[in-house]
Amino acid sequence: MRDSAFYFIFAVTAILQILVNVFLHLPAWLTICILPALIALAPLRIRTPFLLIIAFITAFLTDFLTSGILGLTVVSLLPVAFLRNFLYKIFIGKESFTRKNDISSKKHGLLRISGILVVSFLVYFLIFVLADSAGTRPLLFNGLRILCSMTASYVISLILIKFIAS
Amino acid sequence: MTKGKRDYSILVSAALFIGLEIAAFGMLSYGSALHNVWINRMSHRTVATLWGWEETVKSYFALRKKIEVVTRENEELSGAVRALQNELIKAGIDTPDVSEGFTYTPATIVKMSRNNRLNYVILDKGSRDGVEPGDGIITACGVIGIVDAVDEHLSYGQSTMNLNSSVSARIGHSGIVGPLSWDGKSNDKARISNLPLHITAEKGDTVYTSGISAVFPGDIPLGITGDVSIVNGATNMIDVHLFQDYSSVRYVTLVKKVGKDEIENLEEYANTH
Repeated sequence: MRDSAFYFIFAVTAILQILVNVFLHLPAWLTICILPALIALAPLRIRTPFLLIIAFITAFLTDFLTSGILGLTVVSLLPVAFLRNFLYKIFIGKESFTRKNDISSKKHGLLRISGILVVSFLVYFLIFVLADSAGTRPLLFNGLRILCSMTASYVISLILIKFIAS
Repeated sequence: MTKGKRDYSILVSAALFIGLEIAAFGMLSYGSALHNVWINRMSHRTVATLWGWEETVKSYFALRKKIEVVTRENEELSGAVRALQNELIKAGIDTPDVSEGFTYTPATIVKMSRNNRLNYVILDKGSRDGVEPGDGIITACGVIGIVDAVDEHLSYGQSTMNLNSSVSARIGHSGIVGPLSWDGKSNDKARISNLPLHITAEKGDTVYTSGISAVFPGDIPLGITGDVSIVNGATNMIDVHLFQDYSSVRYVTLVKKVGKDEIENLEEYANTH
């Protein structure tokens, strides 16, 4: 995938995310966010410092434009960007990582891509839900919310990846 | 990418990540009173945990100093008890003999060998502190050795982990008495040998100092009995698992029998006549 194509998809998906947050009223135990998938599957040519800045700006805009708590998405999305290279080395292998190969479900298989996505969503929602509840909600509720949000976001991300690939 | 360049890249990424996360937490704290309280509480908890760890580490390293203080206090208190006892004796008031005819001097081990067959121990107390050759070296868990030579500030002792050493031991408070000596192999095992064949011991009995020598007071627990074996078909030998861990001992007490000179003179007189 070319960098310009990635940025285009990224911008469209970020706008879609903002629209979902503004217009889709979901219950308190469910949050849908596909930004972690976008950050986690960004081309390897984009280095971590630049990816961190992209994540910061996107998350800030999402928080700012959706009248959410300013900083909440930023706090949760930055660790995903920071851990991306580490996750690639674990799930894809050092060789592909060193060659800076593009990541796709066709080339590396859905299982490996799913591994990266699941860990990314787990990191994201763990921080997001805990920070959002700020110690005011019970652990069981938070656990359920993390599980539901992870599942929903993972499924939507997979559909999106298939759509982009086709 | 070379290793140096890669390390530099990781450092830059980590620094940028930390900087941006701090900015994000700042935004979160500034934007909502609830999150401000939450972040403050988390920060206080983290700081409290770090302080707790710091205190644990500090107190661990201060332990040696504390033990020295406690040992010194113990020495002062023992001295006070003895002085008071003497006063009571002078006043003609009957008092229980807490020292059982022994004087006690706390000491610290300067050096101790453990890997030889003839192990030794060097203590930080010498003739200036009243230490003499033949004084016993003990701890609350057993016997460490016997003073062999004395310098002005140091004393050299033969460790119990020495094939030439033996201690008069008793099985139980009123059992058979025999010489306890090191087995020559392990840090925590000894044996009581030269026991008549009809003498045996139950496994797990406690072994104490006998108190019949002029070196150690009686009833200091030394260890517990193990297996009994016959040596050359003539005598019994009982294995003893010692209480004292020789690898960790640092503080000991020197014991001296009161009137030891008198006993030795009497022995000498008996031998010559």
